[in-house]
Amino acid sequence: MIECLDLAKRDRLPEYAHGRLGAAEAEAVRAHVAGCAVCAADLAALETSRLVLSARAPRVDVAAIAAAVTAATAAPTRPALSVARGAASAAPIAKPVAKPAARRTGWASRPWLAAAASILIVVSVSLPLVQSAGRVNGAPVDSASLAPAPGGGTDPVAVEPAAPAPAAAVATGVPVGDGFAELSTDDLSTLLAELEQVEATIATEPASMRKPIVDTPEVR
Amino acid sequence: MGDPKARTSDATDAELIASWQRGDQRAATALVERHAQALARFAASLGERDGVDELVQDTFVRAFHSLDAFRADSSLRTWLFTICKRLVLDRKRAERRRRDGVELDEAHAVVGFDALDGMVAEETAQRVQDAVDRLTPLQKQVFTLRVTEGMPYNEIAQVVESTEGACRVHYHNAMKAIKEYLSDD
Ligand SMILES: [Zn+2]
Repeated sequence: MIECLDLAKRDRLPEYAHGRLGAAEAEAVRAHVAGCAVCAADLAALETSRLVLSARAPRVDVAAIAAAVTAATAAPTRPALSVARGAASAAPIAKPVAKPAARRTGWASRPWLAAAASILIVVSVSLPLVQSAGRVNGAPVDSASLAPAPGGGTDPVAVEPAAPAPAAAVATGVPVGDGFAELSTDDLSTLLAELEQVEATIATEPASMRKPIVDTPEVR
Repeated sequence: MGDPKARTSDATDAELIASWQRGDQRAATALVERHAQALARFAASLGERDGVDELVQDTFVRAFHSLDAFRADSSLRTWLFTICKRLVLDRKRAERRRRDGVELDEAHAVVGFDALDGMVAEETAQRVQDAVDRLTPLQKQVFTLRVTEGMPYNEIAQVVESTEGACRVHYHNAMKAIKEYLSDD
């Protein structure tokens, strides 16, 4: 049975696929994957799974949610020190989630995502968008408000280099297993590059927040 | 101050939280834009397909209302996912009560999609979905967070309330199962 001889690199495949490794580590992982059938298969499965799970996840109306959230949290309890500039336009929307017309969050600028989204939207507009209004403050939920403050960890996985690898490197040189014959490397590169663009802010931002985490290694 | 738009897109979560606490509602908008779709993906891994907009909205509202309990040295993302998961569990409990013990198999209530539009063959996509559907709930959560968000194990452990070691095992078992499904002829 074939085994991976570098579990540390195998462990980093998700960060590699998301373009979150520094150039040196990304290159080391790429070189390892090129010579490790286990990691090549892992990476191929990871990338395919990511595409499928992302495409099949419900699309939410980000603009409407943002409007609803800002309306709901517009801060009677907050010291509003600097609301003068532009805040008025965000605040007074009362039932934004009930506005499917606002369901455009930039997908149109990304052709394949737009194509995928066009199908998803057909499905998702049947989701009960309209039910949501007025539930902002009335959710019959208790335990969420008791969510514990997240603890940190010393997992080396959490310590990430600042510079993410270019998205285009994600699929480069990756042997594709038998189960993926339908998906050409070019397709995969294109798709993953698009995903990276969509998630660019997510991809780069959390690293800076994880750096200071040095306390308890586990939650419990 | 510069261009506010550029400022919010470049700012870290911590900076945006601070801006929001100073009264800048656009910071809240930026945080929603940054994390909403990832929360929807996670919700799907928890079996939620309906009312996901509402769920994501509630997650943010609750998070913003309880920011005092949020530790700034931790990840807002982890905090959001933790709240989201708890909201889903509460929903499921309420739903179960309503149905008087009759549970739906959510995994199989999912409708068919063709959203990958030929980029991943429908058969392959279906195999992935079938394999994911057969994972244990914890495996599914860990796998989704690791694969779709690239979340590190220490954060996943917080969200799913397990240990990093256990999450690693769940991920690798899930990956093994997915690969078997994909290579299965
Ligand atoms: Zn390997």
